[in-house]
Amino acid sequence: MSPVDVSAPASAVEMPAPLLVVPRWARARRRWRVLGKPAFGLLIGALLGLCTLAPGWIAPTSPIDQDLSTRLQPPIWMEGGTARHPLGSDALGRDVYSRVVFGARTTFLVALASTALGGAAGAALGLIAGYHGGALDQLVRKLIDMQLAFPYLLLAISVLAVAGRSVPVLIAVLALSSWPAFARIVRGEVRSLRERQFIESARAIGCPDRRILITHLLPGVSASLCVVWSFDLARVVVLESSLSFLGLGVQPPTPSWGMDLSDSRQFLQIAYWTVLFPGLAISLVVLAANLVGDWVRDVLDPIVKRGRAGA
Amino acid sequence: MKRLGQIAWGLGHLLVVMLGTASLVFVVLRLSGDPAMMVAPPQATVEDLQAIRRELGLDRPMAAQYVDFLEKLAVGDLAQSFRYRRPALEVLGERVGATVQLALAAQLLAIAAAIPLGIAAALRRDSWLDAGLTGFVTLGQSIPHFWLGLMAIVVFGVHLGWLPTSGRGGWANLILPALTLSAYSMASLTRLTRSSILEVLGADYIRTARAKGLGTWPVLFKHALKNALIPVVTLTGLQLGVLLSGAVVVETVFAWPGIGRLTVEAIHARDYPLVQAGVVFMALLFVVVNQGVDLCYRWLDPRTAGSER
Repeated sequence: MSPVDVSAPASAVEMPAPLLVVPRWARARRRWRVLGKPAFGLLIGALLGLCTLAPGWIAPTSPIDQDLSTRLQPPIWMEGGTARHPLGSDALGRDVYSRVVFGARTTFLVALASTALGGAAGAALGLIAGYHGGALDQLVRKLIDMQLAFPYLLLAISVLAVAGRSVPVLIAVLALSSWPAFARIVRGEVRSLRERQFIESARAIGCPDRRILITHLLPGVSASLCVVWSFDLARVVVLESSLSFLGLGVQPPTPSWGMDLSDSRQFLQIAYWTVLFPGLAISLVVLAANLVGDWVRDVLDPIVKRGRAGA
Repeated sequence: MKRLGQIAWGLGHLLVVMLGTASLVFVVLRLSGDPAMMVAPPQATVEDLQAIRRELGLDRPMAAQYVDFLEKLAVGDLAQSFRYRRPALEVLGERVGATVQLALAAQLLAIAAAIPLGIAAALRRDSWLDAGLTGFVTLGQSIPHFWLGLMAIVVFGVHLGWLPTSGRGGWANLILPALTLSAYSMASLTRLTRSSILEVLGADYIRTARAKGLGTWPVLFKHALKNALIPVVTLTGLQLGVLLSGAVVVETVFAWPGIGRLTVEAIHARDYPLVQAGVVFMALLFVVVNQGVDLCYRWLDPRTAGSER
């Protein structure tokens, strides 16, 4: 048999018709799920990062300069709009575009700091409670249940009303709302992981608890932490802007999306752009964080499911 | 006997949560500045301030104030509102109706829309309808209440002029606030209904029902729905927290005279007794409804009746 004989029938074999015909739009949807979601998230994330690090590059106008001669100017595409204020100006003549760009820093840094703080605390509590079990575990579980069920905005409102408006207090209040989600998922996963052989082996060779928790258990829950973190980021951005909207967020003149919405509310009837753009920015950031969360969860689905099944 | 035990356990849980909430609110509010400064007129002297403190009971030790607060709470006496000069509970009572009306309308809207939409998306899985609904769900969960409300005012109130945008009055006044408040719940409930129906439709007993020749609708209504809706009922209850938090914001946007807006106003006016009463009251409302949902849940799913979660 020559090699030619082998290759000839192979090329002559007809490909069987595909069993399942996937419609073109379904493929497009799949592409969106696999590529579109992270791309969108990355784009918004990059924009946020740019706005946070160097807002002056993309918004040359100062966000706090007032000019009462050009108050409530419409955006550039409307009659009376000028290039000086591409998205219009607010009731004090401040540039809406600059306020949106500079406001990103407030939102982004506050959300990052509070989810990092709350996430670290929640993960630590979840690790310890899940690993050791017992009375501590019961206590953590009760705390999680109580807090997840409570209308947290109310509590945040009362704390901020009393402690005063400042960035550290705001971050603390938001972090306090973050920890239960992290603690719950980490606790559940650790409870199933700790029964596995590698943990048993580590214990058998005399590995100290702290080392087991940090080098053996933490990597195992990091995937789910990513999922919880992106959803929590979205939640915290909404909570922060809600608090700012109610007048309990950062202090002026720091630009903040929620505060801009609240300041411009009374001009809604005559100057909708003062409200449209800051809110659009909030919604886009929340949407991006949610989509990235969805995407990571889809990618990690088996891992996350296994963790849940053991919870 | 078992059922009685469960009810007793539920009541105990309720008391603990109430006590915890009340204590937290008390501590938080007292850690702040001096409430006497807020009620006193600007030209008040030191003696005036002391008189006010004595009158409000603020000169006594913190522990005594706390015990006093709990004792009064137990009999429903939530101090006088500084601003209204009337019992805080009375002021709250006048506004509760508005919040309950808004929250109920929003929740009913959400359920009425979400269950059919979720079923439709599940039955036509991977269709255009499903894809479109999934998109709406993601949007609905991402747009904050207050912005949605403001945009609804711009579109339906200002530009189209169809609906009133502030205050409480006829049914027309209720439409925009209720729709705004329902958006988030509607989105989450639709998503949950869809996934829950899909899960149930894959179960063996559904295959059996199919195999004996039942059509889609009888299978859906006689066999699938009751089981598929269990998680939906649970979420409906849990969402009350979201709803109450949302109500605070939505009431502020639409000038709806409910307890959420009252509490926010009280914060800005530093009317502590009223803030305290507002938060404790909403917490109580919340815990009571959640226990109710828990009982419903046990009735829907007898498997959980015996086990403590």
